[in-house]
Amino acid sequence: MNKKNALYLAGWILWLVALVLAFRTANSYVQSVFCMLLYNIILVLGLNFITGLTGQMNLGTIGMLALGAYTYGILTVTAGWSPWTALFAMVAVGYAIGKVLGYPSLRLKGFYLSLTTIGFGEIVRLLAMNLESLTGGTMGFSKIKRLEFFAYKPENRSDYFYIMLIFTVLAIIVANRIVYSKWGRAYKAIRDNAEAAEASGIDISKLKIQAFTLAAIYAAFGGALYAGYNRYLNPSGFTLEYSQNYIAMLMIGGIGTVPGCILGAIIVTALPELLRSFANYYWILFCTVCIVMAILLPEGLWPLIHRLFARLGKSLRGLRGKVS
Amino acid sequence: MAVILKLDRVTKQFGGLTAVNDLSLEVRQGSIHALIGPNGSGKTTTTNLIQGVFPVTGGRVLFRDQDITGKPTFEIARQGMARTFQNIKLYNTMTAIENVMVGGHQLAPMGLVSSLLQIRRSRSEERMLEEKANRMLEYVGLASIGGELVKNLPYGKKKVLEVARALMTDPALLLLDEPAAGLNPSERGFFIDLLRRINADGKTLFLIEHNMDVVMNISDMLTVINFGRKIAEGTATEIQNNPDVIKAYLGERYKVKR
Repeated sequence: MNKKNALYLAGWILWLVALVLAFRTANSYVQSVFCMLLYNIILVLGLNFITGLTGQMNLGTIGMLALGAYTYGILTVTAGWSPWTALFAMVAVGYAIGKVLGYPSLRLKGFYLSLTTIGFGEIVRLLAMNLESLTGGTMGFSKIKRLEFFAYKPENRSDYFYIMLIFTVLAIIVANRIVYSKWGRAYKAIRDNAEAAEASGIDISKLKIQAFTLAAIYAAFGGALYAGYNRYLNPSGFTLEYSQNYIAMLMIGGIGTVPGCILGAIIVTALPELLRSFANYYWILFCTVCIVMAILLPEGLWPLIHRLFARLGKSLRGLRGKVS
Repeated sequence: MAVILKLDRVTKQFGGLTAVNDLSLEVRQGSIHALIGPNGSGKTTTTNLIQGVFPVTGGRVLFRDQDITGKPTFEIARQGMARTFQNIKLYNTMTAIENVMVGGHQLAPMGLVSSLLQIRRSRSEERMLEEKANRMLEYVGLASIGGELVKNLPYGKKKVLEVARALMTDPALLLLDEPAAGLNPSERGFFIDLLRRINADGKTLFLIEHNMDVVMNISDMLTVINFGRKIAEGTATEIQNNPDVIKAYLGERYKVKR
């Protein structure tokens, strides 16, 4: 391992320790925001593959999450599976969603794909509401089992934070490896110029479905963690509004980059809580922020921060050069 | 010399309009073959038919003795046919070297799951791509701008970068759709040298071009089409003296003076 990598790793560990410390000292309300943040990060990292990199609009994120959450619930409670087996079944759920939703994306573009994905989310919500024998309908689905990690048995919601943290870190590592590899480049190539990508021998159809599948697997995992965390699911929590929120995270943080996604998740998760005192006026503020961001920083906050850091590093090096 | 690309009575109709009409031609391995003709005569359509962007209405396209008619573009590309575009088609949000590396995507065989699990192998694959992309940039004379974002590059460099990306796929045949369009005379001179160099390194070139300086200078063989039909074929001198071509396209000025 070279020096740069070691520094990088140390930086990440520092962030993690800081996060855990902050979590431990917080009150239970703030703790619940932290937990929400974790599965939001997983969801937006998944969305980044399809919308951020490949450029295919997906407004059905919440439907993917709901399918994962309900499947996890049904498998652990109704079918009596162990939570770990149910969690790994999420790969299959994500795979199935990716294939089903990926095919329309080969034929549909822009608005039409957005509408299809909105439709998908709504169908999942309506099914959850109406298949009462399976999902409990509007009464909700309760007593979902939690994951246990060897001797670590999470008693309450805040204990579950640590288990979710492990999966979030895993999700970040995997996303990082995909985004900054030939896969990330190929996805971006499809977004930037599909015709040229195909002329370079890239199978666009296959990669689009693959990106959709990745997004769906991430969302299904996020959903399973959410189900375990909340232990209760209700269709009213799976409306279109949440899918839009994930798009907002992507947009505000920085489309296509992993740190940008994390930043966006933090901002969009924390903002409603910080602006609680504005009550309903909060929406006016939030939407204004979104519009201003879209006009002034269409690539999101992260590229700006990245540039600032780069400039800072340059001038620091320059200073050191003058001294020596 | 062997024939690398063969069009056998290819026809393309868009509704009632016949864009390419019963066109047959043979491109010899190792040659520089140019397709010329007036605007709207069906040159770009022909390239698109060769690369499988549109299906043909009739006829066959053979590449390296295999029938590629109706195959998807990416498969034809994988068989060793690369192209550049009339209107530059680069990946604008990426750097120059990343653009070239995308050209090598199909040469890196690892699947998504295995590249996630086998960290060491995927790293060496990435290194292989990067080294090769650097070699390609050096080959076309863009070694110094590898880290630049493509959208910040001047037009001439973008044109050359497209060639580097195409070469990254290890093609046997390179289709160039108006490579010299919009270049200034010095850039054009550089481009002609580059094309000669690529050809000398064993690649067959098939180019569409309006600039007669370029075409007459480097082509071994020319095919002239008008209204989707072949009107002449031959070497530069033969074409320049062909009365049909002069009438349809070149004008009296280009007649070779004896």
